[in-house]
Amino acid sequence: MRKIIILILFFLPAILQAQTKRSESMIIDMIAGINVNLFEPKFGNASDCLLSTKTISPFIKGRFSYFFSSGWGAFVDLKLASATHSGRDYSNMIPNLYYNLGDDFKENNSTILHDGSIGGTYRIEKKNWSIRTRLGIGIGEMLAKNPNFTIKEKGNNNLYYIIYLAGDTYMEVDELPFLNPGISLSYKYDDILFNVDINYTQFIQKTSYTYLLTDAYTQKVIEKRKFAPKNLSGNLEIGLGISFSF
Amino acid sequence: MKYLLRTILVLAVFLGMGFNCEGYLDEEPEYRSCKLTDFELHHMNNEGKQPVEATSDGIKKEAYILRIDLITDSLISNYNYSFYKLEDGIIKLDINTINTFNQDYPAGADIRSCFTNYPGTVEQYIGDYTQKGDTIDIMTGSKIYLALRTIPQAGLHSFKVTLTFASGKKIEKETTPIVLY
Repeated sequence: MRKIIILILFFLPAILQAQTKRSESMIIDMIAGINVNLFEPKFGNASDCLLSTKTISPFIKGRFSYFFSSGWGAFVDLKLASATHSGRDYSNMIPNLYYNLGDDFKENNSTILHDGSIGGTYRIEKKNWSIRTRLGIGIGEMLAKNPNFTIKEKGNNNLYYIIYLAGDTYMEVDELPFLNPGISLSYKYDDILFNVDINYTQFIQKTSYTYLLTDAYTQKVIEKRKFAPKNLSGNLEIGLGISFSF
Repeated sequence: MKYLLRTILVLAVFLGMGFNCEGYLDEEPEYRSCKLTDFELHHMNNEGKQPVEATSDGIKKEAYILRIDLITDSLISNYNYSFYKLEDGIIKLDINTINTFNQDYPAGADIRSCFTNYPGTVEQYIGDYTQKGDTIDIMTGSKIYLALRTIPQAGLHSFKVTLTFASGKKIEKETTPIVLY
């Protein structure tokens, strides 16, 4: 979240400065809609549910756009989206030769994720209708799980702790860079625009995980390895909103 | 005026939190005194998910757990609101093998180091930390689960357990023989 605020604060003065020099229009969008998680994480040996969240979740978004000319402009936006872990099967996290004596999985853990982006926009207007296309770059948050297990080997006294750590230590939310192309279809009535807003967020980095296997008797680390999902995550946002132009 | 009221309210909340934390941290648990009257030894089979009482068939030697039940003059459960504390705490727990344990431990040898507190979740668990110099006195549970971590030779085994108390008193017991295969 800190990175997002820094990103916005870094670019906002440039936009506002441009506004004082020119008199082109500004648009403030307020959008609400659904966020469709298109990410099906595949981890290989570990459970895919480490990063999986429920497919559809609500979001709200605010966007400020400044147009340098009748067509071209720049925008900055901030999105708040609800995300809940999906309670998928995680049995493949424990090998068949072991019993699961207990785990802490926080299956229904949910939180509000933030993301912010900045970029360029191009507007085409015809009478009261307009289409705005965008391409932005930003930083977004992803919900991560840090489950731990106590496992016992079948047929003997061996006991181990397994901990999956998002990142190197412990991280419930990961901040990752993304690209987001988008399009808004607007109908202008007086100074208010009514919009249909579609955005696609493509993360360009993966959340890495650390797998830690520890002997429960001695606390010695037996195995430590890092892994990441095979594919990059992405979200599709479909929203409705109103905008004020100045 | 409203700022003054808000300031007073915030101060009151913080002061209240401070008093509460201080009180909570300083609170001493109220222990009830009890006496150890006896103890029992049980062979536990830990091949499955949880340790279970051994049968006459014996136990796989990699899955042996020695359970020591501490019997006091008070009924102790995990759900007691206050802990019980032994009047005469246990300062040492020795285990000696009656038979030859393996080539490193002949009959009569001290084999306490071959056992480790079982870290799995078991009912009424109380750890034995006397090897680290601690005393077993606060009865957070009543059953000591000691997992065998050094593999013995296959055959008939029995163990002698000696508890030494802070007063110097000692009590000892022997397990029934068990086949470890």
